[in-house]
Amino acid sequence: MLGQIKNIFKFRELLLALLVRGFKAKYKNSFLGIFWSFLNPLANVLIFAFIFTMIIRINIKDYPLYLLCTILPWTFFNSALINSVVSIFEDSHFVKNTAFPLEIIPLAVVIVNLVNFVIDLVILAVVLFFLGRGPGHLWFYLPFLIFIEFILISGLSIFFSAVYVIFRDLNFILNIILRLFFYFVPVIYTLDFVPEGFRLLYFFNPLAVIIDGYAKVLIQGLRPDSTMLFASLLQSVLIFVACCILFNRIRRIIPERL
Amino acid sequence: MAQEVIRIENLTKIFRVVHEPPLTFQKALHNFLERKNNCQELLALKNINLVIFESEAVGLIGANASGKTTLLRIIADIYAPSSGAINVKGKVSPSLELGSGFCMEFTGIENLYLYGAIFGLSRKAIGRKIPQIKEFSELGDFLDVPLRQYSFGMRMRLAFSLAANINPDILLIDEMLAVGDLSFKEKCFKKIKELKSTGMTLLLVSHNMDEISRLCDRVVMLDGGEIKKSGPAGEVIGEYNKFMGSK
Repeated sequence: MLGQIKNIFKFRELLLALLVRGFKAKYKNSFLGIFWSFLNPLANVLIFAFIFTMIIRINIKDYPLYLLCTILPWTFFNSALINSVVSIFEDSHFVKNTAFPLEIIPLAVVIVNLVNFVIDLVILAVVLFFLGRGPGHLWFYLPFLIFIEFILISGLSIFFSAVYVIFRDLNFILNIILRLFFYFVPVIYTLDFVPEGFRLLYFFNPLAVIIDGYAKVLIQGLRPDSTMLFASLLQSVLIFVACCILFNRIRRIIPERL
Repeated sequence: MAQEVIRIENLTKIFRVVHEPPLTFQKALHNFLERKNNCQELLALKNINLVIFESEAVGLIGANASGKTTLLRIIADIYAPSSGAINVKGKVSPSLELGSGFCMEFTGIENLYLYGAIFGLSRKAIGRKIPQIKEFSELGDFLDVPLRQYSFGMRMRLAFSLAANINPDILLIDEMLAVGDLSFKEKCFKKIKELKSTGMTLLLVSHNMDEISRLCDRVVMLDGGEIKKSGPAGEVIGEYNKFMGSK
């Protein structure tokens, strides 16, 4: 495991080159370029805001703003996973011709999405500032939340991208699971809506805790529960380690299956 | 005595070949329910023993599917051996068979940066080598064009120029020279000889016996995953021609 991280560090130039490629490939020939990463979640916000304030009246204060704060981290999770699952497969030409730590490929995809997310957060911060809602000292929680989410996504991405090479249905399955999982994370609702009996389950959902944390810190002006946050960190690290172990078990057969 | 660069002992490689691979869930489930196992083991390399020394040029010859490329990929640490041991000292060049390893949507330069990075060169270091690669490949402004617009010959020029100019300890060439024109081929030969004199080891897979006999000190003939004959170029090539003729 430690050797693995060392190995990735050794290939940091490759990671950098893949990042540059990732950004170029993503926004080549598109006029609005990097703003698409903000416009996409914004469209979702508008749709949900319309439904839940005009049609079904949901009782959450400043609902459109709340949505903005939860949909951005959800989009990070969602698009990072969807983009990375096919990444090793799509780079088969490298994988079959040279030896290097394969996990760098999905990792680069996750980092491209991370950078997008951070840019989105900056835009959001500007919006919040002009609305007179910040910056506050609670914003210091943000790097911590981003870090937990990054660890969680990285682990899953590394594992899924390897499995996809062997099992091509994963792509479709993942799409469905993500669509379902969206409703198990407090994006369009807050945790207060969840009945007491079920709320314990959210304790075992690291992403739910993270997204709730963003909402608390950015808009509700509340301090995230430190026990929950710590549990989320622990779970994310465990998932990351488990995914890396599983990845290591199949990594050597990946070039043969491409 | 020259230093050992590659030592291969009792190496065997078995591929699990899945006929009609059940890449989809439906098929996998079907196979599972019918208790059908359409997996077959394919012995790609069998009990290979090979030692290669520094600045030696070794040719690998053999019919198609005799295990040449598999052996190169194991030396490059892309495939893991199923059993046996392999020890490689030094940096191995990417084995770009006909430049198929390039990213087609990217320009020549962008591909050079990517492969340079895979090889472990920093952006700066590769940047310094680009004029050299540009001059050697004679591709000129084509380096700024996406790879999909390259011909086979041009891709090969890029692949060889890259591999030869990043100073690998071991250079792998997999049937790459076949599509080059005569003048570029001569240039490649000259470059290879020059690199050899500085201590680089060469492993060349080719079906062109003229190439092999001009470049290689030693030739290994593979057949069905086994080393059939190994020795000085003239001897092995004679045997190879006889063998292929009898088929």
